[in-house]
Amino acid sequence: MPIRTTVGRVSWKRSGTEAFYWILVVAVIVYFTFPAFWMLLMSFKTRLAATAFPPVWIFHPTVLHYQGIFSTSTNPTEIGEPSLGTMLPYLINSVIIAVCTTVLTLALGTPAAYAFSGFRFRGDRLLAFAVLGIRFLPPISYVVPVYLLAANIGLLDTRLIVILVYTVINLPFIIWMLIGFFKDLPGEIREAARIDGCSEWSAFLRVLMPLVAPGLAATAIFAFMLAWNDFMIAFILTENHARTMPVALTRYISAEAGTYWGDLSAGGVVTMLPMLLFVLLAQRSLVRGLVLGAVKG
Amino acid sequence: VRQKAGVVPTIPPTLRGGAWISRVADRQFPTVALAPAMLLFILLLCYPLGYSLVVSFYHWRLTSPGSFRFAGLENYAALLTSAPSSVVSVWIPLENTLTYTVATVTLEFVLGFAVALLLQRQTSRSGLGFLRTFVIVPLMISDVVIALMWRMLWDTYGFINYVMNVLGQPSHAWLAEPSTAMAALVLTDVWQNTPFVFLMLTAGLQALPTDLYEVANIDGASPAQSFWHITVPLLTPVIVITLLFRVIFNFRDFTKIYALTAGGPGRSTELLSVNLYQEMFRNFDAGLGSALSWVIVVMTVLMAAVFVRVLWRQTFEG
Repeated sequence: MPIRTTVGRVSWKRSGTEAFYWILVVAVIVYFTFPAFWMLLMSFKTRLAATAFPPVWIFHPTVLHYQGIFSTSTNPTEIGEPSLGTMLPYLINSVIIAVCTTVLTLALGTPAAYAFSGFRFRGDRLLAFAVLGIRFLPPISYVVPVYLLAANIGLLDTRLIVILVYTVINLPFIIWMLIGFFKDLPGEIREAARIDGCSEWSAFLRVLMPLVAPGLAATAIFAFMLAWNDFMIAFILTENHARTMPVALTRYISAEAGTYWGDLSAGGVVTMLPMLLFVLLAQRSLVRGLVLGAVKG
Repeated sequence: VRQKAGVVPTIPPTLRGGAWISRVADRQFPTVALAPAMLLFILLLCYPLGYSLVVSFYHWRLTSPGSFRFAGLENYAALLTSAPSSVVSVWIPLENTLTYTVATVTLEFVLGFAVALLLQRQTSRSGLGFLRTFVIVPLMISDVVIALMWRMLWDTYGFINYVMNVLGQPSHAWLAEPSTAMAALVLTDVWQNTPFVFLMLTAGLQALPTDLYEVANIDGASPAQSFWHITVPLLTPVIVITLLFRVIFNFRDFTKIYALTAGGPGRSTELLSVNLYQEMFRNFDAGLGSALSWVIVVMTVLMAAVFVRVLWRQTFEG
């Protein structure tokens, strides 16, 4: 049973303002969800409805913007409204980059986290905290020399360089999150596997990995999210070939935004949709991961 | 798990036939398990950072290849001692960054704490999970999408001006006026990151022992007294971590600022990160850009040092 503290409860009950309490709760929820809801509405508005002032709540919805994003045609005039054209290539880039980053980060991070969590060796704490320190490195400071070096060897505007940079930046967070999940398992499990004749590697791969699977799933979601949501690194390191969704969206965000609000909103909805699904499906483990990732690293 | 008598431990397949590689991999397990990740850090992190440290001591304009020459500390001197109004000087962006960081962290902390206390009584019901799902939505959304949403809200013909007009106030070009642009950016970040403070403090509140409150209640302490004398002191470690976390991450903010104001109007919202972007990718001054990137690293290290000290104490001495 969860422990309940009574600070809030006593004061609210005593003042007897139940209705006031619920009004506040609803206000909080509206505050945190309204901007996303408003963008969702925008994505179904025609240009006329999107730029109406005062804003319209009731309108004839259109799916043209979504069709435009996913159309294989690059000719904007076919859509019937000013359009940014297809965003399909950028969406594909985003998926490839985020999936590869997730796989690579977990492949490198899981053995490292296991070694940190279950073994004592010379300089183990120092190394673990060095990894933690990397997490606080400002990505923009790191991406400046990466840009110069990648330009030298012709890796700019490739998916590979973006994947590698995401992996380096995400790895510290992922390692520390996984250390937390490994530490949740009793230490005797490894010893028992060893006594039963497992090598360290088969104890790790066959016994401990399956046990930590739920934690791995939550960590994978984070690794995916960090790569999927990033703008800055992809913005600096890519031009056109490897451009991701967030970079494609910002191209028109300032100057001509009004013209393309429908398209931009549809693109925004498509970009945030996988994350919202994750929240709905795995709210509990995501919250735990966020708190764990912060408290322990 | 105890071994059953008479069962001979099976020899693992990896040790059969004297495969020495497997034996080394087994004996040196931590080293082998850590090696790939550490190798990646050395090659793709330490090397580029070392490279940028070297470049920071050179003049190097990317647009004129012949400009590469040793500069000593001149880049750093230019950053720190140029007239504050100069584009090169670090002081205006630093001042903006501090304003932004202090304002966002303060507001996020107060609001996040308030929401955590407000929803606290839901902890024992399944209700919290339901409410929490709505509150953490902003944490999962890309900075770019958040900038887009708020771009539409802050627009001259956007929703916020509509509400202002309904309340009898005039419209503003929030993001284009020097007096309001910074405030608009701060409020956008508050929307995004208050849920983080909420989550951290909720986790902290759930871990507090209930019996202390019961004793305090019996002793006639008011809820306010319980709050100041029990909740706040016991929550201090979580509060410290939450604050340091937000300070370090808000200090480096780039995407929302770039997408909403690009540092303008004038230089009123030009943070250090935006300034670095402009030196490096608009003026193509790699030497100066590298020096500035190291100035930002040093500032972050100073803040992170405090954080790591606190964590070290909690992890190993707590």
